[in-house]
Amino acid sequence: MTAPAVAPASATAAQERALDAIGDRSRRDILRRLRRGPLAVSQLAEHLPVTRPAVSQHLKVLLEAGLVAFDRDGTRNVYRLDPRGAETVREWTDALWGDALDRYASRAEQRAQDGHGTLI
Amino acid sequence: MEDVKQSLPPVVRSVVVPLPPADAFLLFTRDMEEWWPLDTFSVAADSHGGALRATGLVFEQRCGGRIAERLSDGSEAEWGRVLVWDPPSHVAFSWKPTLEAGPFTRVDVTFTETSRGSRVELVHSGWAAHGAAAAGLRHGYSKGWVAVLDRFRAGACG
Repeated sequence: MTAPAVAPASATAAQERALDAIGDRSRRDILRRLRRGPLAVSQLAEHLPVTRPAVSQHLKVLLEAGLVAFDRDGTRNVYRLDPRGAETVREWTDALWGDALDRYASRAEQRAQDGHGTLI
Repeated sequence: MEDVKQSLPPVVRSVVVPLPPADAFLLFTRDMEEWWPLDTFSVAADSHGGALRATGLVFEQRCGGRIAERLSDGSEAEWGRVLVWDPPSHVAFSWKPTLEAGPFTRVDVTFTETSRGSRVELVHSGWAAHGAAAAGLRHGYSKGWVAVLDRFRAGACG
């Protein structure tokens, strides 16, 4: 099985769903917490400023997007990061750097106009 | 579980700015908080339900220096560490505020003088995929971190 070398020009519905999933701040917070290790829903809810049903709803979205997976432990589900989500995280980070570098370039232009180290 | 060692291609972005490399380098590193979109991307923006916000960025200008987000309660959230400090041409740092399951990723930024100023190229690498990331998970994150340091020891910090 091989991953595509680059993302296709037109994102598939699955990819769009994954990028939407990662676009939400609470869901990014959940992903960061799971980076430290698997957690049950109740453990996640303890540390998040949202209700347990809201956490479950976020997890459902992340699960459908292939970003998290879970294992059964008795009566509870223990969630963990799904390594297959790497491609989505990479695409999202690519867009983040695009935005950040645009702002970096604008700031550099301002500095050049203000006379700091102008070459032109 | 797949055992295939494969990785996704790095994120590569470049931009030309009208500043000499020394100034472009300082703006990228020391003055990162002047341009980083903290309002849309920060650990604080994502967590604490709005109770905390990011007030600035710390970029320690040395080998092993910390890159961290300063929070409104006075605490800091570390984003990574400087792995290469070679002004004004090259800086590299580990990167962990993102969300991937595998070992920490790495960002290399190079500054090259051009007739219009500087060409700044950013390469964000280390995107383990599928089997590789799963292997990273099995061995724990700390091992991935050590591997990153080892891999880039030549010509780099420490």
